[in-house]
Amino acid sequence: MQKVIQIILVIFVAVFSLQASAQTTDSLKTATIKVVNLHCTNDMPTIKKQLQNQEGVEEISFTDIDGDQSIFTVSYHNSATNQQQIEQVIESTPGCDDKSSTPYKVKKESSRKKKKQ
Amino acid sequence: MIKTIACALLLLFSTTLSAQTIKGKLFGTTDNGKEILPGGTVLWIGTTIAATANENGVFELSSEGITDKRIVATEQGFKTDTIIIGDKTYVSVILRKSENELKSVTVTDSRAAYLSSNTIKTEVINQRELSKAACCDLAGCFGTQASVQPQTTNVVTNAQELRILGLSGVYNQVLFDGLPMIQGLTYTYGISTYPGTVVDNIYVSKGTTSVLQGYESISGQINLESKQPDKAERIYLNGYVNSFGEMHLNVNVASALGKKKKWHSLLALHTVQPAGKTDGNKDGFLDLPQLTRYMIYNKWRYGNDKAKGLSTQIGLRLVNEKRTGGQMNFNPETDKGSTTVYGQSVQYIQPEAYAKTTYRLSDKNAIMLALSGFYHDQQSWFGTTNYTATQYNAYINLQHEWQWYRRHSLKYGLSYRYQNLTENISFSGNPTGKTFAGMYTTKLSVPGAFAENTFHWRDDKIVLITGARLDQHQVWGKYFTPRTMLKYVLHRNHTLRASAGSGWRQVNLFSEQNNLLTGSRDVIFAETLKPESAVNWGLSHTYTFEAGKKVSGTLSADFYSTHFSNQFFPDYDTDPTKAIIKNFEGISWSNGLQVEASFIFFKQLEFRTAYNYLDVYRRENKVKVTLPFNPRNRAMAAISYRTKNNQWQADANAHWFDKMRLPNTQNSPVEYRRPSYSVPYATLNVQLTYRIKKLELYGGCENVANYRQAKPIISAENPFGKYFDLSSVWGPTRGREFYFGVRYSVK
Repeated sequence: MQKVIQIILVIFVAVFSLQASAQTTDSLKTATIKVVNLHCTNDMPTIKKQLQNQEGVEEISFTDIDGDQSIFTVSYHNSATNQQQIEQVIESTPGCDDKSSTPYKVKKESSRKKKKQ
Repeated sequence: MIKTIACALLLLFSTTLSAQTIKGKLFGTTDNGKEILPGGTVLWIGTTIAATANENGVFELSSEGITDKRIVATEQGFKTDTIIIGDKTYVSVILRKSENELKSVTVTDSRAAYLSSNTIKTEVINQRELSKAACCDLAGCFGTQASVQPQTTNVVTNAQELRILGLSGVYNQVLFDGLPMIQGLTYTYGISTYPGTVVDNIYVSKGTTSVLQGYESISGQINLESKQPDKAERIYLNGYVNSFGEMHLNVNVASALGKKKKWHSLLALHTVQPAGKTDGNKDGFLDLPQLTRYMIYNKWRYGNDKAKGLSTQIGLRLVNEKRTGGQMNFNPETDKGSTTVYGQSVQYIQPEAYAKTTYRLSDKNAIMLALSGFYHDQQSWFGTTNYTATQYNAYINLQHEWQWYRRHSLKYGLSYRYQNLTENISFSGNPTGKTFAGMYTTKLSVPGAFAENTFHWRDDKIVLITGARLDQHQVWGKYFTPRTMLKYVLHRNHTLRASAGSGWRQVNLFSEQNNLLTGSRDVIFAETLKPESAVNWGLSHTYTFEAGKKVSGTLSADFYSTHFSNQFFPDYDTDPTKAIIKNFEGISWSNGLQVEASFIFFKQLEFRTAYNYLDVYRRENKVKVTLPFNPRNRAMAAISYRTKNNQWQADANAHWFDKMRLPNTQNSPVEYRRPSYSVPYATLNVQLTYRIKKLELYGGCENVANYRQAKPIISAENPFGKYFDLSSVWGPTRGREFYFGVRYSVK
């Protein structure tokens, strides 16, 4: 009988949690994105401004330019956006000098490297 | 079993906990899509639980105890919206532009000057409007506006003031980033020391304004907002040369600093190099002074005052200026104080600093501390009069902002104003027997307390500001300054505004009445001057319209009346050889009406026209005496056209001035008399701009018709005689002026 009660309770909590999570499917995620083809210190603020205007993006920080790259840390709400969309926004950001070009590229980590990790 | 129940409860509890807040992001629609709205407000409907969007547009609201899950989102210039949240924990809110305020809120480069949606009627002159003219310094930035009239106060040094409602520039308050930096000695030449290249927006308000900035601003307020380091061009260059040979060079550099790029800095360098010597009207005097100026300005910004936590803005500025004018052969190195060659030489150095720091405790509470100060050291010669002066100024303002219910807010605090002005006057030669040599000290020490409440009713259709301040003058005691401003949106296209209030100010005699130093009259001090005080009220109506997407426009009319209970005028009439200094406690009025229309066709062609009626007078022995240099009627028109690709832009503006009453010279010998009134005249200015990528070339002509006042200087042939007079200048004195410039910017 005790086992039955335990099973019912677990099922009840699981169903309730599922229901609750259906109401609150949103969670805050963090994406670390390496952006390349940067040439000056104003490129990062330009990308940041573009990301700021995206739905779901909560906070953006970036490292100093190192060579031609910088690492962006973007926290976002997964109910409103995802990492792929964020990367697309970065790659479609007009250059801070030449507005007609979209110079910034996201550097993907190779699958081998990912496997190693 | 117990473990299982505990785990289940913990899981349940944590799920419930995570649902105690909702997060979201606030956007507003723009011409190109949408943009975040930092500072926008959201609140649970029917409650006072509110949050302000941070610098990323993100807001967070506690939903504890909330049963009606709807939020109301508001931001000035956008339509207030109600959003059903339901069970969501994250929401994006997009507000649409308010049609009523479509033409009055968003500041973008695609639009020129506009009327702001502020409670006080405020004209905003933005970067695009400033680019329609050379705008070398602040006095040259009002060519396409009707509310502010630049007026020359000394034709030899080209000192200028900005008049509002026909009243001397001393009655309006010129602020730099909201702080009073132009006072006393900095008033005489101060407005020329701000190059247009450091200015982002100029806000012009007529009548009495908020009490937060002090007890002055009787006729209006001009607030220069300098470029924000985080939004300014990374590199900006502007070079200018005119047909007299005067050259201006401006360089701005902006960058983000610190590990997290939270600090932003703007460094601006400005120099003016002197023109060649020109005497177009052959009166023996230079048409424009030889001006050398160096200015360095550094502004720092950290954080966002709308977001929780600390934010600050710091400004440092240093001005070094030298002006030389007078007879063609005057050499400032050898002829200072000469009794044979007349000249004026002004040289000063002026370091300034200011800081505005805000600590936002919550969405509803913030504490702000504003500090500013400057030092001015001047060495001048006006003919045989030697004038050396120093001034120390300090200003402290501590205020608490509290949003006490929905959007109703209260600002209150304490302020302190300090000034120590020391002037030394001596004469190298004194053929007319002047008696006012000596040292003069003008001190000001005024602690004060103030409070101002802003009510927002009916979705901002009615906004009422009521404020008052109490200040303690070190000699004249307490001054109570009440002010109120009302905005009523009658219909989405019609806005009515009203304002009323009082103001007062202390006279800084020689720096504000330059003629006393440059003229031949003796100065007689009959009594100690009391602070000037006045009451001002005004009404305005603004109508905005749009005819499809092709034509839009604004029609507006305003009327302001100023009544002085004590106003200072040097008495020039009792004795033609003397200026008698005494209080004038009789009736003194200024009534000003302005009607203005502006239209934009196809986003390419802009047209603005305005008419001003001014009746500025005082009553002496029951006789109405019109104040000099105020045309009863004045009109202006400005037209601007740019090609679709924005590569070419053509601008023209014309100003017409009715006759003006001039200072009385009837007691002088016939050859030194001037008519009682000037003649009506008009001026036309044109400019053509060509843009190619980051480069902008502009060239133009001011005073195209080459109109100039004949013989502006009385007794120019005998500058050391007792009838020499510089105070009758009412029109252009330098004739036609061509100019060419180049702007280069990297954003």
